Amino acid sequence: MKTILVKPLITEKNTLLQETLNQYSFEVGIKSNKIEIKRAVEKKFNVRVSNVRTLVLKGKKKSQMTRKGRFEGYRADRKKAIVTLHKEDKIELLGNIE
Amino acid sequence: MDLKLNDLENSKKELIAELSYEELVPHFDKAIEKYRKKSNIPGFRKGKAPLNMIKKLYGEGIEYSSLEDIANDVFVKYIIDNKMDLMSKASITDMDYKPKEKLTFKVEFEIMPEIKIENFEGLELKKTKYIIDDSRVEDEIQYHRLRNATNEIDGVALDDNYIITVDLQNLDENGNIIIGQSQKDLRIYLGNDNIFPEFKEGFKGIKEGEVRIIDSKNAEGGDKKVQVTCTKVEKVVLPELNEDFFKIITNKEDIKTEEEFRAEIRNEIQKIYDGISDRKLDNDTVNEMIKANDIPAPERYIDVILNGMIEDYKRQFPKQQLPKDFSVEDFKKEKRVDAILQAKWYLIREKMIEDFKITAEEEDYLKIAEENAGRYNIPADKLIEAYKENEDVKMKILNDKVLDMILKKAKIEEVEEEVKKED
Repeated sequence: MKTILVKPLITEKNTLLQETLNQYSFEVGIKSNKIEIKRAVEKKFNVRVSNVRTLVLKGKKKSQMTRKGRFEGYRADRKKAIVTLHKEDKIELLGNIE
Repeated sequence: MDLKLNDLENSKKELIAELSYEELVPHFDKAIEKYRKKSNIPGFRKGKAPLNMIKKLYGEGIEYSSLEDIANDVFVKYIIDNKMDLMSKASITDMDYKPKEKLTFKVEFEIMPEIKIENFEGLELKKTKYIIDDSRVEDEIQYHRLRNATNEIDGVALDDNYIITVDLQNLDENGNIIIGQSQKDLRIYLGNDNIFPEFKEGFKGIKEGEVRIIDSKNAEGGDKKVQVTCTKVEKVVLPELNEDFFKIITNKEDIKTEEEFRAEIRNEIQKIYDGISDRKLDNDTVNEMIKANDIPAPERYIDVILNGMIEDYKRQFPKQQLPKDFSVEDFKKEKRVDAILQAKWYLIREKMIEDFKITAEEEDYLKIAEENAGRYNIPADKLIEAYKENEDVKMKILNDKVLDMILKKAKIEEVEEEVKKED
């Protein structure tokens, strides 16, 4: 089965987006598309998604020195989705806090 | 918030507080906010993580760690609101937190006891009037004559008026020398009353170069023999009782006759004993005041006094270092009764100073400065400035004034006591 939602991205910038524009950021499977992401979010969090924007984060180039010589490679590419919810909906990424 | 104050022994109190969860929330929020400013969470700049995120991640831990601060805040507010005079550090003796329900804690502390000086008038005291006997005066004159005596080399010690120089060597029962038990060049005044009788007898008529064996007792009471070798015999020549001698002893020019000299010596001894009498009366007054006014001595006060006693004791040793076998615990145990009495007196004195508005005035400082100016060879007007800065001098003045006030209202009976030649 293809993984769509990998993890929510919680950073200072994303928190600001949540508070001001009701937009939530997730790391998603690299092959998932906007439609799949929309459905996954709506199903998982029981909310209405009004827009999805995605971008691919290119993996960084990494090199390693060993006895056999220098090995070069890349970290895996990742996909980020910024999901805009209906203005009346909200996701508690940190769970309910009393 | 439910607060209850219980009385423990002496001036100790116990505060039992119970806070509901609603009352705790503002304290917790404050603690979380404080933590947030220090938090460093990936994805956020330092101190910029959202409050509810901190709450979710660390909320419970922060709540527990802030309980002591909450107890402290509640306690401090209680003390200030009730205008209590705290004497010692308070300690939390019990704490119970039921999450989302309530916090209960107990704090033990000591406050300045409430003091009422009720009985300070009409204390019954005895003041000793020392009568100086002629034998005491004669003893003093003899002491001065001995101190100013000259010595003449003589061959034989005919009576007590001689100083002999001897070497002492302990012997075993067979008369053999015990190595390591000898003393050399010991100067002994034969008129000294502290010489053991067997030695006094053994030294009679001893000649320079003579060797004698004296039977004596050791510290355990067993028999021992001491070999005495006399290396020098000096006759003590006492100075004549004339004007020159009177001047050396009294430092006064106008003493011409032996009667005047004796009167002066008697006067000096009387002054010393009058001082002893005054100090004894002061001590008795303090003791009677403590008996007449039952005041609890706060533990903190006692501890401060005991620590002061240790510091004083320390000063008796080189480099102010206590001996290795010194036990602070044993010392405090031994001196505790004295410290309690001192603490009680300090409280009585403080209260009387406050109640009767006793202060140290310019003339009080001047009196002490004039008394001490001659002794330190510093002009009184310079000394007075130093005294005004000195807290100990101020306390001495206040202490004397409090004692004077009590003594003026006391019933003092004079008791005579004769002072004879010192043993």
